[in-house]
Amino acid sequence: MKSGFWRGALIRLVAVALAIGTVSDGRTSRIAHAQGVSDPIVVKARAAINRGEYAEAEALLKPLAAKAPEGEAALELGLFYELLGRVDESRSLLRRITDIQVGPRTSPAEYARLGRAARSLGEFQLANDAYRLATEKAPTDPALHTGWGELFLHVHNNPEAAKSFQDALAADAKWIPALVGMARALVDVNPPGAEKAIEQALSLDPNAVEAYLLKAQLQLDKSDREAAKASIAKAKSINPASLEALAWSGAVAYIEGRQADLQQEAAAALKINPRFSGAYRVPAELAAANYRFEEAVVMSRKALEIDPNDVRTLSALGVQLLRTGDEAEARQVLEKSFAIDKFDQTTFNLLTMLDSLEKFEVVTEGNLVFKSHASEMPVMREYVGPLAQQALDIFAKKYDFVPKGPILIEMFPKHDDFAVRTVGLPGMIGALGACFGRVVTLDSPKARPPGDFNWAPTLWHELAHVITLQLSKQRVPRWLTEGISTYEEKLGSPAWGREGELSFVAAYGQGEHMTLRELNAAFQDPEKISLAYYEASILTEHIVEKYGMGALRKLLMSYGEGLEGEAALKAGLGVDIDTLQADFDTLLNAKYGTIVKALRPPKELEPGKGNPESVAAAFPDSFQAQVAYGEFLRKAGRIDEAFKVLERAAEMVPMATGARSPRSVMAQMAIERKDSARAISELEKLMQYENTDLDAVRQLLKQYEITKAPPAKLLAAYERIAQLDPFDAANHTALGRMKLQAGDARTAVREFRAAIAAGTLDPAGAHSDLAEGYLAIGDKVLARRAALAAIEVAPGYPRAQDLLLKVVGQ
Amino acid sequence: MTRVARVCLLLTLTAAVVPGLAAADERYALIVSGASGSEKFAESQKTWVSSLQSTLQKPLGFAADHIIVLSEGAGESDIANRANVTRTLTALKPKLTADDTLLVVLLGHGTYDGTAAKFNLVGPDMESREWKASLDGIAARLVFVNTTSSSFEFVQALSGKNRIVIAATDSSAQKYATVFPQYFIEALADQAKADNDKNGRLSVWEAFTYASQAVKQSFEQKGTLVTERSIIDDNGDGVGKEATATAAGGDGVLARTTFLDAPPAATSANAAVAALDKRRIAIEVEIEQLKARKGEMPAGQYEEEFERLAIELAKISAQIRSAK
Repeated sequence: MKSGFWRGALIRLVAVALAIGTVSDGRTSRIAHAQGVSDPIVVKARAAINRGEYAEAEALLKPLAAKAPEGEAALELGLFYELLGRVDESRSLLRRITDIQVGPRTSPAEYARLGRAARSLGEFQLANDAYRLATEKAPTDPALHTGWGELFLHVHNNPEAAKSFQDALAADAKWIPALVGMARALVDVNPPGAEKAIEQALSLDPNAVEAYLLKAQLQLDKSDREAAKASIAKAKSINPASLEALAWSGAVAYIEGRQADLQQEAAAALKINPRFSGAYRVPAELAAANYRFEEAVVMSRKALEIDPNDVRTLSALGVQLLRTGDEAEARQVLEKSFAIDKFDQTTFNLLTMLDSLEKFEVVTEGNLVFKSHASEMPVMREYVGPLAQQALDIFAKKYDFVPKGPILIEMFPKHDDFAVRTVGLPGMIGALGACFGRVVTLDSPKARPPGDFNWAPTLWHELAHVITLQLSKQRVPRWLTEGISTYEEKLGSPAWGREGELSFVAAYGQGEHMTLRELNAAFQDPEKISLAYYEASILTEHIVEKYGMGALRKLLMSYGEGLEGEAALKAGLGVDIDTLQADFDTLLNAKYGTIVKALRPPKELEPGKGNPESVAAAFPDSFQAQVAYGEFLRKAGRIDEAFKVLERAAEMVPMATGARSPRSVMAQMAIERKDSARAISELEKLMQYENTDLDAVRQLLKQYEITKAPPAKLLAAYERIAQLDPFDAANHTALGRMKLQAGDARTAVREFRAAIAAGTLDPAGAHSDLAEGYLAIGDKVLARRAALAAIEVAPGYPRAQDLLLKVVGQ
Repeated sequence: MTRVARVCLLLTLTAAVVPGLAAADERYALIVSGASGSEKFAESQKTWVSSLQSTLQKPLGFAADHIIVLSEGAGESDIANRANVTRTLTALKPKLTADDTLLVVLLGHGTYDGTAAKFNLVGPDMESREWKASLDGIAARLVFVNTTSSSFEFVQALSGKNRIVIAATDSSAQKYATVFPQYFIEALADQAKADNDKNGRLSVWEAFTYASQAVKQSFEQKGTLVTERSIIDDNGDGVGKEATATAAGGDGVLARTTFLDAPPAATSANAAVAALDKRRIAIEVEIEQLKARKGEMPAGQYEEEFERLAIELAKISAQIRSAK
């Protein structure tokens, strides 16, 4: 039931006519039956429209529409004029249909026409009511459900649309317009489902133009441009005057740098419909989908020159501007879009997010603009700017490229705000950060529980994208930009970027990794994407080691010069993909062959089979057999033996992390038997591969404190905690005091400031620490201020008083 | 700020900088560790009782015979049940004078069924109104700390003149086992940590704010939803306030001037030092008065005035320290 139609009333009528409109010649008799249409001339006109024979269609429909201004032909003619941009004529015809008097004898077909006309006139609630009434009267008519679904699609409610299409398909599993509608509803959220629906539609109607164009979109998403071009060509061959087909053809031409072809396609479309802003909107959207946001903005502006109120262009331009960092204009455009289309949830979300963003604090340092929530800025400004600058300095030197600024970094304490800023919708649970070239967005440490992720490598990763995107003029393929970013992450700090290694090795062992030809498409597959990240990073590492940084840079630039795929590879690295694949295979085998063997689980380990001791004896080289045996020994209290077995397991698969990993278990066993030295050894080894486990670092720190470990070790642990949980004030204080003792007063000052900003439980002590730090770096003005702040909290505090006297020289 | 509120604040702060001014003569404590419900909680409660008892004796200096513990596993006369609670409080009443302080700490579990809040004892529980009845008539300053879940209702029930009532939770939704007692006891045990104003004394207010903030941070560090927010009422209005909201809510006056540790030694017999001490106290009062006016003064004027007083205070304090 559609009672949930979000903003108000339910209306339901539609679209017998729409159903006809989306089906080509072969299905006309079926449609006529479904909607009770008997006039063969209307059917013939429809077929002519589908072939692009517009003059003929008009000639057929016009007399009938004049004779019956509320009838089927009038609706068709009204929609036909809408297609051609003859707005006044269209509205005049459609208005007659929406003005009909309805009553108990109104037929489903009449309600359907009313609904379809109302949709075109922007009267969505009337349309919804009409469809509701139509489907109540004819609940098994797939055309009515399809029309209703099309209405939901129009108002961006894809889940409800999918339900309507499902209702249509329940009534008739071969109802082509419902299959096409379903594909449209699923295209962004479930590409495989959309693909299936398209193939079904095309198997039933090989001339379905819209299905070919949807197919092309999916192919473009998978970077299979040649296949997409073939699909578009097919659509054009069926209907050479299809505006959408011309727009997609122009879009692909634009992406390929064929400006003249774009202009030709746009001119052809505009000749048919001078108000068809899609001629540039679609190229803009495809440019944006290819990360070429600045070009997308240019194309969108051209589209708006044709139709300044085209809401689809306005909303898309808003997103594109956000991705280029122009938030002020993005807001203006989105507000205009929302004033026209209040149903667009994405635009609403973005405007709400911009409202929040306006309250963020902003820090500008050189080329960097950092925005953070006011509650986090005092702490995060101590770390984000310096780390970002460090990353960009390293990358600039390494890639011999200074990125264009300003580079905007936005950090969100609410994950959904990050998701909306990034894609317009909440969700994106797995995503931590994003980069659009000059804009980086990411979760702040407070967006997730401490220990869940590490913001620092995320920022490092995204800033590497800034380099690769700009160096390649936004044309770098996904595999390479992600590969480089993950590779750079691993170089940024020893434990960064390794979390995907074990999963990758396990997949590699099962033969589930990707060939180089498959790698880019794997980034579109939710099942494979995390593997793709890691594999791409190993490939990048291989490229750097074998061909050098110069070659990697050349490869990036070759994409920027317009080369693509294997041609770019050849130009950049001087090697063909098959040779690279062979080398890569050899590398993977050498790197992981032994571990892969260790990771193969013996069947005897399945529940109920074998016992851990005998399985471990039978499979001495099996990681899982040894881990299971180690756990068994631990439970049995045979701790010394457990250590031996688990140590062996840990050596087999050193990158195993997590609570059940051998190193983790051994650390716990050592802590339990108060063997701090062993606990430290295990935790230190664990930390080589683990960069988010806050509990493990805290445990390590505790063991360091127990054993009075050297300051360098304590410092390293404090620094790790500061990174993983920047709001741990006590840790900042401890770290700052150690730094001060070690003579690094500048870092100490940073830590003391962070302690105060994070809400220390001892503000007088923290301000006094800060005063000492400032004194150590010779900044008496700030030292005086800090000492006074301490005294303000605690007037009788001798330490603060002495510091003040010291500062004022008395 | 209203005129009334400002006057009230000044009085408070003036008193706060005169250690011992509001301190009571004798300090008593009643620790009630109720029904634990499980081995795990029993272990925690046992640790807390032990820690609190020893902390009260040392460093806080409560006389051993002024500390009464009723607990789950104790013998008949010391078991934490309704009879022993009422008997103990009845017995204390004639001993306590208006100059004394009675600290009552409840450890364990509490419940609230929508009408009545209870503290879980061995055997029948005691509702907040029953606690009120048992406590009424006590002449001493009362510091009542209910560290349990669903304790918020006790604030309204026990609120009154010369009473500081602290609850670990601020609503009926907060019905989970609390961590507040851990940090409250930590504040008492490690005064240096909780002594926010560094005057060498631990006020009830400081212990409360330390525990409140530590609870908040512990939840933040775990990355879990905060399931307890402690509140305090010491102005008798029956409305508990969080540590951060207290300045606006009018609570904190009594708690800031009620100390759980022993009063400091009398002023020096050395006349010169005594004079310096007198001047020190006067400056501290001036500083607090100045701070109270901060929001109404131009920033520059405040800073100038504050710095002048701070430097003078620092010099005098240094002289006192060197003379001692």
